[in-house]
Amino acid sequence: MRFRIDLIIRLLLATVIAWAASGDGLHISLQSLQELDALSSGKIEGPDDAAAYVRKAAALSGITDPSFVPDLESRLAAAELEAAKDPNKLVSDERVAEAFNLMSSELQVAHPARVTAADVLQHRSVSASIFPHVFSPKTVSGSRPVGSIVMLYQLWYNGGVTGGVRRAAQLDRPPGSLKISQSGGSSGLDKNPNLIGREYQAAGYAYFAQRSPQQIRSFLDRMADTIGLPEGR
Amino acid sequence: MKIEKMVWSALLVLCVFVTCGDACWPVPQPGTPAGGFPVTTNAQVFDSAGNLLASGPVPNIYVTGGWLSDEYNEEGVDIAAGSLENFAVTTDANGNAYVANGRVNANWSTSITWNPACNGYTLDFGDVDDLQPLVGIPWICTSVAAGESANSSTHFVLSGAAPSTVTSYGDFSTTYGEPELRVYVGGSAPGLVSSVSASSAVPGSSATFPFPRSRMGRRSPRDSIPWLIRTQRPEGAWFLWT
Repeated sequence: MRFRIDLIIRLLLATVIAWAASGDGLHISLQSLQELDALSSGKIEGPDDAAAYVRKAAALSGITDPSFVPDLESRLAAAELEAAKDPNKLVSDERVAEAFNLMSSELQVAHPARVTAADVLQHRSVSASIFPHVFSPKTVSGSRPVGSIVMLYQLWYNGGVTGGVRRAAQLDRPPGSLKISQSGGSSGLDKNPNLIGREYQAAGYAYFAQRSPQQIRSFLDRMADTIGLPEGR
Repeated sequence: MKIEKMVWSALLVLCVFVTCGDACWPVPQPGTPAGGFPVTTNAQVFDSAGNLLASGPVPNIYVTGGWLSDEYNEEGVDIAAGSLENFAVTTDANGNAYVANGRVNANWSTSITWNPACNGYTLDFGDVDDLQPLVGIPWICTSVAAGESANSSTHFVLSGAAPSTVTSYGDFSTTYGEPELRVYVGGSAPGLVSSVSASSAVPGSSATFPFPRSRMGRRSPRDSIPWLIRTQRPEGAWFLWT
């Protein structure tokens, strides 16, 4: 009997690891980012609004089963509500930069990209020119909590702030001033692939494949603490 | 008893399978000089100046590949490695797949089935020359993010009283050359009448041109003169502003 329970627990833990390592977890395509931007245009006036927003945002980001990180969902919802009521509760650029640098260290990226608060400001102001509801423009003191998670994902995906974003930041475009157009686009093979981004992605895959659920949970909790999400209730 | 034993055996196998990590199935990873390479499917958004503004995965895309030939070094030695010469993969949620033992330092043909379509492309083909282990086969779907259509300082002028310049407002780039204003004529023989480069431009904001002239060189055409502005992009193509 003891063997049987041990096996079942081991099986459950292994399933969680496999889920985390399979790539079916957090992922944000540009299409889902557009949907997330539309979702983020709604007002948050109470706890139910905040909880519904976070749940839908998680689903759009590929997290269909938030039970893996139950506290994170409630912490995000509480943070969204607080930020909606008080702009001083927005996630500062310093905290996002600190969280990204913590991620780089934890994932043991071979060539980590150090990111500063100024870099984060550039990234969100450029992103706000296309997705003005997810990302805060530079006139705002910080990011919405969900926006900060999305930004951390993008920084991980790209291996930091790209040169294109740095150049575009100099143009100081207003939020929502750019629309993604189908004309002028193309399909093809990338002549200039982002190898730093590849390094970050490979490190992320390796991390989630090799760490225990407890280690992953501990890491996510530290990330949540770093960006200042309220404690879980 | 026999069934219970089989169930436990199956569970044990499943348990081993889901806990053995990289050893069981190839998670996306960089390739190696001994063989194996990544396949990626990404989307990228550029502005009109060619700056990469945003990128993200295109999940669950079907990609195939076929080896064409090996690469040789200057001494004529075959430098390719890896035994796999054909593959068909579907990228995961983050747009990554891995071709274990795929032949590197070799030339490949590849195809992709975009679903949903990428800017109208459903099926696309390409060749990768000298496939590198770290780069692999990187498919991208690019889009352009642009501001509203350019708006101009002058819409109507009195005949004989045309201003010397016209200023258009838009997210113009000067990175790859001055914006260009092109004047067209309609009617039975439509076509390009003239083109003129901007006399001054503020990147991302506006461009000022000498007022367009008619085919006869007059500054004040008798009828409406449709024009558009174009700016050059890094790959040599032009972005049109209407």
